[in-house]
Amino acid sequence: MIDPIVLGLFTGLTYGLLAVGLVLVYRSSRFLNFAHGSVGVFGAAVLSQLVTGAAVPYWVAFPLAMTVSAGVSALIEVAVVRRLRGRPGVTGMIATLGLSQFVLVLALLVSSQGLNGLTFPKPPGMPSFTLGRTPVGPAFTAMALLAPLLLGGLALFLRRSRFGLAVRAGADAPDTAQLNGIPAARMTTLAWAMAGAVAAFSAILVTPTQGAQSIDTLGPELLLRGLAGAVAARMASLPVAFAACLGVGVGEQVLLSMGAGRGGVSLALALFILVALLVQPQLGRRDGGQARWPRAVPAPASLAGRVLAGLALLAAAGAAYLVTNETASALTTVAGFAVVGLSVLLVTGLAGELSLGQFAFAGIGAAVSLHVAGSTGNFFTGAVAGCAAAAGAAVLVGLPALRLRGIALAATTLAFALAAEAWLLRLPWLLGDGISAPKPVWTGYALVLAKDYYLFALLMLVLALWLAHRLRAGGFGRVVLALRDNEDAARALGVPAPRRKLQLYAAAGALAGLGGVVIGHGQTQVTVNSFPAAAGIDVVALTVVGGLGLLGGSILGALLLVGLPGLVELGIFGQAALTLGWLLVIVTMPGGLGEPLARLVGRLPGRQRSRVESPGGRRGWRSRVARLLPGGRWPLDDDDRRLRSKPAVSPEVLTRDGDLPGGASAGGSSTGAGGGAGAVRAVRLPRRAVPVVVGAGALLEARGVARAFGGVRAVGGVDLAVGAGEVVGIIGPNGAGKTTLFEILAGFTRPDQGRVAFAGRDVTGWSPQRRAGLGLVRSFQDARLFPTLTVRESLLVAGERLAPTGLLTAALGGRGPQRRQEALAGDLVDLFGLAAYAQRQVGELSTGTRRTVELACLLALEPSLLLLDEPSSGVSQADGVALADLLTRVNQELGVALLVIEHDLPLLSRLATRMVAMDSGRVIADGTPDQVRTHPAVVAAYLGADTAAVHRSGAPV
Amino acid sequence: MPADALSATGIDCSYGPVQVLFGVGLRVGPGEMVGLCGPNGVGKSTLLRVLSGLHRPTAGRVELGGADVTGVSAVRRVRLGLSTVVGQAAFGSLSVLDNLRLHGYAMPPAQVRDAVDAALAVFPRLAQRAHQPASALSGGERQMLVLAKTLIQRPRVLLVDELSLGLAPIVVGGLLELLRRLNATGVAILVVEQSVNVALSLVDRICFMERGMIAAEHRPEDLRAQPELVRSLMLGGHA
Repeated sequence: MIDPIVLGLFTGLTYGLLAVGLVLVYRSSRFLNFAHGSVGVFGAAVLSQLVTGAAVPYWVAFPLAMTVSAGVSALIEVAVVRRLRGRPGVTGMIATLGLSQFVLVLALLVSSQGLNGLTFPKPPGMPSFTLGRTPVGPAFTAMALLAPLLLGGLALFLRRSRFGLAVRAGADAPDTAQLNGIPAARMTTLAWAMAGAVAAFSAILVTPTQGAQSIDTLGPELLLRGLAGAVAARMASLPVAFAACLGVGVGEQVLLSMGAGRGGVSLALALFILVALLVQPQLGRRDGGQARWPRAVPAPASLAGRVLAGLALLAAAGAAYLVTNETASALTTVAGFAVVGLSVLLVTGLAGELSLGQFAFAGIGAAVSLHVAGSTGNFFTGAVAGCAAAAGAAVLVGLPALRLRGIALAATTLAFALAAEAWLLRLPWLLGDGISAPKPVWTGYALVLAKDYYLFALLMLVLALWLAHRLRAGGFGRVVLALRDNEDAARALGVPAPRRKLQLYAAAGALAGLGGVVIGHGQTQVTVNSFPAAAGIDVVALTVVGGLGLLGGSILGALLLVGLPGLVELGIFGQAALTLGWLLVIVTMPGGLGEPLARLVGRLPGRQRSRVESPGGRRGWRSRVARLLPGGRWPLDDDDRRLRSKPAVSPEVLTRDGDLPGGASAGGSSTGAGGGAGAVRAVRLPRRAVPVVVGAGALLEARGVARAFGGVRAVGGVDLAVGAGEVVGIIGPNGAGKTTLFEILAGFTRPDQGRVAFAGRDVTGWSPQRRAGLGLVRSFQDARLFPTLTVRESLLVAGERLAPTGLLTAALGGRGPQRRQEALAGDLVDLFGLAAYAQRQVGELSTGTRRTVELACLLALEPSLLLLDEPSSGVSQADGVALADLLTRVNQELGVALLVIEHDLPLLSRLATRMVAMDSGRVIADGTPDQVRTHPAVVAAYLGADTAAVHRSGAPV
Repeated sequence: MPADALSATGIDCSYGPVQVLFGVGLRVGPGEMVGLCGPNGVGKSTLLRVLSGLHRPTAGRVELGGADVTGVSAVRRVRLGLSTVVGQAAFGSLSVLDNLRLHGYAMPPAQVRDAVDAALAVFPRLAQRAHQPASALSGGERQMLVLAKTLIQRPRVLLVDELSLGLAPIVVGGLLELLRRLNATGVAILVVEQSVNVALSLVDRICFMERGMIAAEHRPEDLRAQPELVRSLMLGGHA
């Protein structure tokens, strides 16, 4: 038993070093660098060339090679990663995946000997001995001696030295770092360089131990082992990551010695990663909404666009009669990849997640379809079974992955893809060692010829396009986009998040399965080699290259990345050039290659059925310039969106009415002239269809609610009651527990003790969406809503609660729910005077306008009680007053109870009939505003003596 | 006549194709405290970013103590004596002590140690939590940590943004006191403040911004004599 452990420790050392590099890069850039391993391999290639080609002494070439790798890594950071800041994390991951391949090719070019373990230079002067029955070579010894030194030095550097602290600071908050005199960007580059050197160290010492296997073939498998350890350390702690990798190494060797085989190891690794990620939910959580998603391009609505699409289809079909069988076969593969690419479009383009396992689902779909079609003799049954199986598998994988996002999900799907290739697909009831593929039969004629089969593939592609379009364009797609943009807000609006996500995964899985069916049946004999893990990466790459926001993106990408190498003979240089090409596209063109094409098509003459209309009556040069830009909107900015949002002429919706056609005020109110408080424009509130919930006793009741976070008592034994139609304010210093209490009341956090009751029912364990369904609705302090959706679309999403879009309805193109939602949204737009903003993206609006939109969305849910978190924050005083008046009207005209957290006391006093003061997690006063303001405990804890600070708004004191 | 501690003239600034500042000019005399007020989204924070060096203006000049720093990076401006404090922006993953040490990154190490000790003496709450990560601090404590920068960097000019955002009045009172004391030692301060009342109690002059331009400039005494003017200014419009 000793031998596998010892061996495992040694291999674990390599993985550990990889993990250290990954964590270093992640901490400084919040980036998962998939190219990390390849950079190390490049360093190894350089060493090999120096030692064997240029006769440089080993111990001189070693640091030299490490420096080269450091330089390459730094170059990647400067040239690629920096340019991707502000783009969604998915783009960065895909870019590094491409870089990984590119750098690997470069390594092969550098080292003419290849990177074969047997011929690779070994460290001279290192002893070799035998431990038990295991021979320990010089490379292992070198690793065992030098690795701890390297790691210790690194750890000390980061913890103690000024530079190390600066690297960490620059990673944490780059702007703040700069304001401290720290050149944050340079520190990040330094971190990447260090990671690159570590990767080279690792690769140089591991290559001699690999026997005859060339290290470049290890690729994602090697990375995954390092990733496992890094993930176990929460991407935060270098020593823990290293130690975890030692464990991974030992575990791997032990499993191998017990006869588990490569497949078993891959499976165990995948499970390990999944569990490690589920145990710590912080990793890969929604990235704070900082990412700027490109706006999806709708399917061509103009006549010209549709004609073009039709012509393209005809041309593709016509090609079947012109080309050879081999070309047709290659084109079939292109079509198959394009179909799987559509599933990537749904998962990555709509839901914004990176799934590297879509091709594995394709493999499952193909395997099941082949078996069923073979045994029943009916191709159609087989295909349906295949799609269903793929969908089912996607849901099974999706269930535990529901809580994972971002890099956590990417890592899990990569692990799944590798486990699928190594173990799952090799199971005898799937692909086993290979099965024969029955061909589809069309009116008695079997499509054996490649040319005929190609037409079938084309038909499947059209079907997949239609399905994807239906899902994207309607309510279902909108809801998924809302979940991507701001999951919390979507849940607060009653969207059943887990169900929708699983529906999306199932739909994407079914599409992937269809692609698998197309690819699988197109061959004579299908083995696991048709569905390798690398293809999962390729299919994501091609979709991104073609354009994630475009329906035809995957087709374009497949033509370039699959069709080109399939039809034209590319040598190693050609391969490198192609990889470089798609890397450049990913980095420089966020919308892919297809986006400029789509815009060109959009400009062609033809009756436009588009919904984009220019807002009426807006004066000013800004609106004139905006009309000239494509799409009629400003491009988004990730930085100070708040500041950008307020255009020069378009004022807050509540207090001024310069937007209306003709500029005249409508509906009878005017802005405060000569000192009157800015009166609210005549906003008419929607009539309720659902009556306000009333029951015996208080509407909302919290009893003995307590919650602690890691030993800190945030809320301790709070009793709170809000009656129907009441307006209650909550005040208290920071850290008093107000927001935590809100999260408990709204369902985003579970209390440790106590109960929450609403309308007489115990809702303590209810999700936010269920509570919204009952009438308990919350708003958010930042009113971020859904930045890439328009105001109108946001209202449509809010309408989902009363008129939900089912998955099947969406897939089949039913318009029922859509019509009801549109009616509701139209009403709200009119009532709130949002007509001028209806087509604008929410992310462009100022805070005050966003709050109004949010309020409209909340009222669409017909709530009985609104939880409002600092509604005046970020809003000017004038608009704060107007908003307060609007809220008063909501309370009085619609009978909605309000529970409001506020720091602005005069504002709150106007609004609330009752106030509750909190401090240190407890309620310290409860009564009328005057009573609470003069309560001694409140004065002592909270108000203090600085009168200017207390009377923040209102007349000067 | 001594040069202004800080001055900006004719600043134009854009984010991509969108212009947000239009010919903005303001000055802070030596030892003066100036307030910058205005509704949300009007460009106050952008102006501060331009002054601190985080964002390059497309036109205009920024001068620090009479020297042109328009093209100088933020990092170098720190060394020239300009400190910027943005509400509650600390390094969450680092300890309080490390945060303080990093405030002094641009200074010689020996000086830093003494400065950090002095800062901890002024803020006993921070001393209690010296080894905790900054993310564990409450909003007010984080603001103290950020303001400790002024004690360590000993700037000649201080820019303050979002001092009171999200903080309880009692905490804000304490921070205002700190600013007053700092100003008394001769530090020129520019405070961006959403609440006119807070600004009135603090500064020598208030500049009002609207839609990317400086719309008006008043002294607190004058404003207190004309409550009508204040009311209309506070409501966002201006008479």
